[in-house]
Amino acid sequence: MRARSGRSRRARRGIALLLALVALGVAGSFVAAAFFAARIAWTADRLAQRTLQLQGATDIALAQLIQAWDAARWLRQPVGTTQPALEFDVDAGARTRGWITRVSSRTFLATIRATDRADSAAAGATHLLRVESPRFPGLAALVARGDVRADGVLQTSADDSADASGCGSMAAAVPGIMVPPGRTAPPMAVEGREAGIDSTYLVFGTSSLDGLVRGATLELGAGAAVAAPAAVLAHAAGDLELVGGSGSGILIVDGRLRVTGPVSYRGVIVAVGGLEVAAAGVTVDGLILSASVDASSVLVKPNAGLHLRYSACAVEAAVWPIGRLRLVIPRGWAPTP
Amino acid sequence: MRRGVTAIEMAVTLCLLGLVLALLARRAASLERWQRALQASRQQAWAARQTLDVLAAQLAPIAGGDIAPQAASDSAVEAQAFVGTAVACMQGAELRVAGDAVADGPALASFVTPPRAGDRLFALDERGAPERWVERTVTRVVSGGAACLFVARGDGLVLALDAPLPMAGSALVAVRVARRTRFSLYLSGDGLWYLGLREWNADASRFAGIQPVAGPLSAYRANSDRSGLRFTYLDAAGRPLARPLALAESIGGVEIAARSDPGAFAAHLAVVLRDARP
Repeated sequence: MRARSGRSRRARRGIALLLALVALGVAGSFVAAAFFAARIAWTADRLAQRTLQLQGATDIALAQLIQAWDAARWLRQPVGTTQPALEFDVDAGARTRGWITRVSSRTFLATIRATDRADSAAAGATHLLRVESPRFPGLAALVARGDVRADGVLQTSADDSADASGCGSMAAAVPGIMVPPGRTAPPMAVEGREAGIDSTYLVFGTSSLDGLVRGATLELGAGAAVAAPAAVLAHAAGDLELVGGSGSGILIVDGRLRVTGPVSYRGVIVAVGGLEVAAAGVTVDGLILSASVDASSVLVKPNAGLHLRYSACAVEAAVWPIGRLRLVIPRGWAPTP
Repeated sequence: MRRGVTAIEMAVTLCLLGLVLALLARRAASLERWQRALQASRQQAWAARQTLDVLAAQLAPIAGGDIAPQAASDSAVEAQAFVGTAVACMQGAELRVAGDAVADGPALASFVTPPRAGDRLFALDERGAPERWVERTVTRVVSGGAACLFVARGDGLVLALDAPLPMAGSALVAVRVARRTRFSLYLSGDGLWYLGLREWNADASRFAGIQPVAGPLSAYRANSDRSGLRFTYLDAAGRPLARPLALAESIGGVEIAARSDPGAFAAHLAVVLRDARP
């Protein structure tokens, strides 16, 4: 009897257990399916939200890159190369990196990539950037609107390929001297219509001569006699005499520029009233524009010597400090996968 | 006595089991209906959202001038859709689009979809101030052989153009590739409305057949908020522009409303053209 009773109890426990298992199994499958579906939806929404956050991070990175633009650093970057520009954490789980590719002397491509380590979400974008700075005419090492007289030594060199690696610009070969048709000049000079028009001396791309004068960083009085200035943009309100020394940058002289000492200058010289060299050993790397239409627009006196070497690199170095970085619009921005 | 009790217990147990199973089956049916309804609702929301996502991704990178004003309607937009961007080497009428620039760095080229013959190519001409984009047509695409002065690797793409670019003195040029594409709300053969895509076929000089890219959406209703897809064109300040549009350059953004039946789930998005002129 005890044995039969024990079998009966075992049978009853077996039915109850089966019922419980069936119920648990059915309910569990519904709960698991609902949980799985909710989990997928939650993950997809979170990924979409994270991607949006990372897209915002790329915009912030671009703004930071523009704000912290180091003109001197990027001037040295060779064309066609890519260098890291920035790197920072968006938050604990995401990182943003940026690179700069130099496309040409004035155009750069900024590439930003933001990645999330946890969710494997990512966002990226590229943006073309331009340095807006004066565009001086690369017509010749010396561009004069009037006659060029060399009673002393006038040497010009117009191949700046040796300089090209230094500032990232492409090598350029231009004539040594350019004057308007019919003007008197040494035999190596070429005639060019551009040398005879106002805009060559007054308009430099999006900048004007007047605009540059207004932004001068060093003002020199009319008739001043000084050492060659080393200034971003020096302006003489009348005639100017350079008595010697080394200088660099952009020099604008409203009157006549007289060089009476051994001057070494690197950059751009705009002499509205012409140029007169009365000393030996004067060297200029860059570009000289003489806007005077006189018979002695440029005069190198007897026993004097001007050694002029055209250098696009020196011109770039002179204009970059007053350049302004801006986005290329339209079609400058592009998303990257 | 114990046997009788066991029989009653068995009968009660069977009844209870039947009741529980019946309740579970009914619950399961209602749960399935609820799940179906939830899934349908999510699908509608997803269809509307997907429609907006597709259009936003295509329209955001383009310039206002890339939208064809004569083909801009309340349910269709035609644009030079973004295909990719690159910094390329110029070799006469060919462009060499290189791969990676530096190890662990960015690629010099990035394409959403591979370029092909017939695509439009915009090259940045920076000789003047301000710079401008020169347009050409890609006539042939060859894989590989992209090595040039600045990139040693020979993979990448070579894009042949219909004419050389005028920037002869430049070695590198920034380019963007675009494809004439038309997005519209259309009635499919299955009786449902979808966001359709038609790409320009240069060989046939006409648009290729329409392909559904998102949906289903609500049916078209002219100038109605209840339409499955509605475009409103905005100027740079976000003000609606009257149609027909006079100048594509004036478009600064596109407001898109997508709606899906039967739950009438609606989603709105204003796409600001990142490259619209301010």
